[in-house]
Amino acid sequence: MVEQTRALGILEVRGMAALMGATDAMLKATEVRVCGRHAIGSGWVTVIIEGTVAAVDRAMAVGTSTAERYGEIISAEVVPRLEENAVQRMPHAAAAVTDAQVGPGALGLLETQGLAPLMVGADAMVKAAAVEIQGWTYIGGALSHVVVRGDVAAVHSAVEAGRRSAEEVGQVNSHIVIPQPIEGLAALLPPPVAAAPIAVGALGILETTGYVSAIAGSDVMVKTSEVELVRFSIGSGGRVVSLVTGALDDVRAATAAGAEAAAEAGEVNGVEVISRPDEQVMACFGGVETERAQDETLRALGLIETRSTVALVKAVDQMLKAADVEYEGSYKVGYFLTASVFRGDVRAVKVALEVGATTARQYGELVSAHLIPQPYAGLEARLLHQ
Amino acid sequence: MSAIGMIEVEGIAGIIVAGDTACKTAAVELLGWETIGGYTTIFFSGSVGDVAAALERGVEAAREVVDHVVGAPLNQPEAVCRGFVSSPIDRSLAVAPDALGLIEARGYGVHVFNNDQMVKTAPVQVRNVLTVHNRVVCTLIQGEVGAVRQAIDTARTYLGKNEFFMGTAVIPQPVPEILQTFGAGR
Repeated sequence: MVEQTRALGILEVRGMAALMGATDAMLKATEVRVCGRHAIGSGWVTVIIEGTVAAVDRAMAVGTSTAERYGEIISAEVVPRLEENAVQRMPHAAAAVTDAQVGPGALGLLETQGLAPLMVGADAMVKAAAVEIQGWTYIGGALSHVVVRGDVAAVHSAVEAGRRSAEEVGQVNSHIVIPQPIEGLAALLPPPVAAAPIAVGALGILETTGYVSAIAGSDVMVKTSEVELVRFSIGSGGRVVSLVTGALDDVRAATAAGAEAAAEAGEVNGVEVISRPDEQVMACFGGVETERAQDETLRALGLIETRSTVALVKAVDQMLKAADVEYEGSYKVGYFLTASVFRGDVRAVKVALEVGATTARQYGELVSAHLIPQPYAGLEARLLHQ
Repeated sequence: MSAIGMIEVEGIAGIIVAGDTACKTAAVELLGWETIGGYTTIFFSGSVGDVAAALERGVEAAREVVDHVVGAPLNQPEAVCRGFVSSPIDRSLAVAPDALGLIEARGYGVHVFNNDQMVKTAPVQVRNVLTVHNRVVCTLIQGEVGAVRQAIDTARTYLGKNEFFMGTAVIPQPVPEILQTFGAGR
């Protein structure tokens, strides 16, 4: 019966704390269930609930007032009697089908602008109280969030500690503690941490906008001191994070030099060092990939990045025509950013980059054109493009 | 095929209109499209002359839908350039010969509500809803041309008041390829 006369409630907000808080409140308020969720970038996330008209109306009233407390409401609508064929081709339903379980305990969520403050915050959270990191993800517009679980008091103090630490190094968008999360909330949780906890020395975090500045910075980091590049991680809003580990002094020296190089090639958004990162934090953000590519080629690397596909393709075409360079691949960072990578001998790459930069500027915004004459071998295995 | 044409716009409605116009203007073949999170690009190939003509009219048509439009030809393109087409055209997709309506706005919630309203006011089918990040969402509807215009009117009445509304377009007789390119199957 409910299937035939189902009403929909649609709540779109900016930020995951607001969405999670509102969804929890809605599901607890009346007899409704989550039938879809969708994220469309820039931090805009939507949850769609269904039930009888009265139930959906009531739930939306509760949901919007909760969402207001934790973030910004983009839209809130009720469709009293849904035309099924209006929504059957819409992408939101697939994401709501999940085997995930909410599990026991309270949930705490910390949401920041950028990944560097999130990692610093997460580290503070697990050090402040007995909580476990559930996972992290991003929702566009450089907004990322991490979710922790534990008993109510522990989650409260962890979130408070995390917020304070993250605010010291960056911007906190929102945070929320849900003391007794309802089961239907599982559809909104980030994917669980897959890697095993790992102990490392210090952790260096270099956050940039764009792929080229991340590579330029990382190359200098691994050349400056005894550090190892753990991975590149994609935030959102065009952010790329490179993580290095090593002894504290080495990591400090590396990140300082790397930030300088990255700033020359593009934009730097954050540089942080965590002197003794918690094992859980490394498992969550560091991932662990042990395999390495062996036969590294140490030919010069040419990197070009634009805010336009037309400008990039036009540049790639002209670069290959102008010089004896080999096209290695491309990487789309998102948020308008896209980059291509070339190999060749230093002079050829240099010529190609000059041609590419000139061409790209004619068609769109050139972000970086960068030459690495002798890329460090440790960098090669971690590159993201194919 | 000795040339490739590329047209890039903000959002997605602009390249649908541009691609349709390009195909109608000259002997070009659609290759597919690509998004980098905010901007999308449509690719087509043909002789140098055909691509030049298709580009000119395609860019003009797109400018009627959106402000940010960039077009460029690749004459005798290097082979790797074709690799930038990340969403190739699905030629096996069965499509209807009906008129195509496009509704573009920032935000997902407004589209759910609006699609319900459109389907209630006119006999149109929602064929696909595309999101290209940076918040842009575009709904593709099909139906008899009068019905599509009626549905678009409804959409403009509701969405036009919304600060996130971007634009609409009606293509009375879309080329089948453009429907296949953007997943507007029956």
